Amino acid sequence: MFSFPEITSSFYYTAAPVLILVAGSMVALLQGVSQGFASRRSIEVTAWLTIFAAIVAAAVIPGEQAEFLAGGLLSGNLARTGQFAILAIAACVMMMMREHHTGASFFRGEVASIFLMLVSGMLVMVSSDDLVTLFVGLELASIGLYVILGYVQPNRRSQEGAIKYFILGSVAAAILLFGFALLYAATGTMRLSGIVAALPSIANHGWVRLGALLTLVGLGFKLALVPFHMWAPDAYESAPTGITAFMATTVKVMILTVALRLFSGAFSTMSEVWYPAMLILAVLSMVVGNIMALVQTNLKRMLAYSSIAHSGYMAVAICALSTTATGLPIRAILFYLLTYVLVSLGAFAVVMSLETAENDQLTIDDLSGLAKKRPWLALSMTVFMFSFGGMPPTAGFIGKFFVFNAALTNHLYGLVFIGIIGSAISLFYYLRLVVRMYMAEPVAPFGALKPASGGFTLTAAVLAIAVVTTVLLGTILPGEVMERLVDTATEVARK
Amino acid sequence: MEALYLVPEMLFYVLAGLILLSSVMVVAARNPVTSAIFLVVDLFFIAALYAQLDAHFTAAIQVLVYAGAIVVLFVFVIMILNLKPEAVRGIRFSVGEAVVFLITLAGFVIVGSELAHTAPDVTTSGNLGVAAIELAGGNTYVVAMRMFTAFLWPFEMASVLILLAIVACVMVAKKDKRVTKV
Repeated sequence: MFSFPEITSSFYYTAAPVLILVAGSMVALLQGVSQGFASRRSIEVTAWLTIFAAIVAAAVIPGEQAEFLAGGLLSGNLARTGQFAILAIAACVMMMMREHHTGASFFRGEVASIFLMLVSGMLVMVSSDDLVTLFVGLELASIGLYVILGYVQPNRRSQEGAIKYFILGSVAAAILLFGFALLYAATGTMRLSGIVAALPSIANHGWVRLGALLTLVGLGFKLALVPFHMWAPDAYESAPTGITAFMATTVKVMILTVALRLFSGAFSTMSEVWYPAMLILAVLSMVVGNIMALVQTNLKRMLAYSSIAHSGYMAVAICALSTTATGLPIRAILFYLLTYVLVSLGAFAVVMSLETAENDQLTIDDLSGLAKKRPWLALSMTVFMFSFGGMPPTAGFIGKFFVFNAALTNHLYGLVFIGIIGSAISLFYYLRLVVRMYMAEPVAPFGALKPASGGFTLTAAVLAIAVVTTVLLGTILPGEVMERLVDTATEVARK
Repeated sequence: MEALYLVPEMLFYVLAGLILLSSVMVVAARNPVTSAIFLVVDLFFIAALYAQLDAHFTAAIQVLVYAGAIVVLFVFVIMILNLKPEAVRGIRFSVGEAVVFLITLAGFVIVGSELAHTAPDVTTSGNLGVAAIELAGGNTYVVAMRMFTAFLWPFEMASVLILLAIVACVMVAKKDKRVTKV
């Protein structure tokens, strides 16, 4: 009746990134309490070695789909892409944190250890077919984030943001768990693939409907879709900017990967249940996110509301999954996610290269006239704002084009109309920042901003890569990238 | 003899009522120690519910771990912190609270109406019946075998999760001299 799982070499290839991260986190934890190895330098060595080893390991995850330990762990294109993306972002964030004033607090034994563990939770989540594993991975990532948010650079404001995120996040986790439990109770299986098989006959059963909707609420909370977005502005604003950049990007990668597996797989036969809910979330997020971003003066708060709006655009593409089984919406989501991640990382890198310990809440006024003082930073920020606003020739334009195209192919005209209106509103606050940087006189004295370092910095390297890729993805690369996403999309799309 | 069939069902409703009652008391009690004691009572009744479902192992673990260990730790923490009973605050609803209450009530009605169906009739290989579990060697054996075969990966990740939670707790609880007021 029971057989012990067969541990093959391809299991180790697939599990390697997670195992490396966990091992590295243990080393960092022990270093933190050791006599000779607790210095920032030695913690950094461990953290960098771990993250780079994990990146290499993630790059060689087998591309063909296989499952290990009864579906707890999956190999395949989506798992590999998701793991690689999360690890690459983590490495970029570590590079930026290194030169940021919060770097000394970040590279401490316990913080680095928690960081590596929470990244491993994210990896677990993007490569699992099993509800229990998904939940454990989500909690690993969430609990790590709660703590790292409030206690890297502890002050009253960041602790307040962390507590808000913690309390609302626990409620959302409970809701998600209730949803999972109902799905299990109704279908008798913890496996997403098992749920797909069981659903057609019982898709209209109350337990299944409620289970799917509660799952949607839980995921919507983590994606900060309106009306589950209350925590996001406070958390984004109060966290050290590196952590904000990490959270704004990796959490979306993680949750959207799971959402793809759910909505194009497990829930694909019951779209009439979740489609109306997802539609409402998408519309509200695009409208409320963009309108609230208009009135923000704090730069990080503005980026937070803009990220809520971008979650809305991605939800549009999820809505498009409701009527089609082809890979187009899936590729649109993945492409949009790629552009969003690049541009967010870049925008937060600009913020990080201007912040100082004394002035770590930049306002839009602080950036007035930036073009005269720091022309390259202003130019990068301009590229990112253009891309966020969806203007050619940047990646954001192509991303929005693919998303709206996927929605139009599925006759979601109203949704696209609202999306375009939302984009028009968003142009106002994105371009306002550009205008202020280029055409306004400095309001605040520049002494408050971090001076240019003069030489090569890792933050500048991340920034340069983000700018170049954003432009390339908007001009010559999109066809190539979409071509490469075909395999992933066909892997996810279950007919 | 007909009436005997109703006993398990009646037992369930009695237990469910007691669970709800003690849960409300956990929140409503003004003295933190009283809250903790009601939590113990609550968890005991839930254990009884598990036992009624023939999940004897889970019932035992529920009593040992939750009622036994965790709530006792709660009580310790309450005593160490020396929490006083909350100052009496009259029950007054603001308009906002009333709206929230109504929305919650509506949510309960919707959830309840969705849940008020009998279990869907799905037979999957994943589910063992009570008889099959007895045949396979009993509750404890089956749970252990499942945990270390099919659910090995989440089980190992849960251990990482607990480690992270411990480190996180120490970080949060530790007095940090760097905390600034800004």
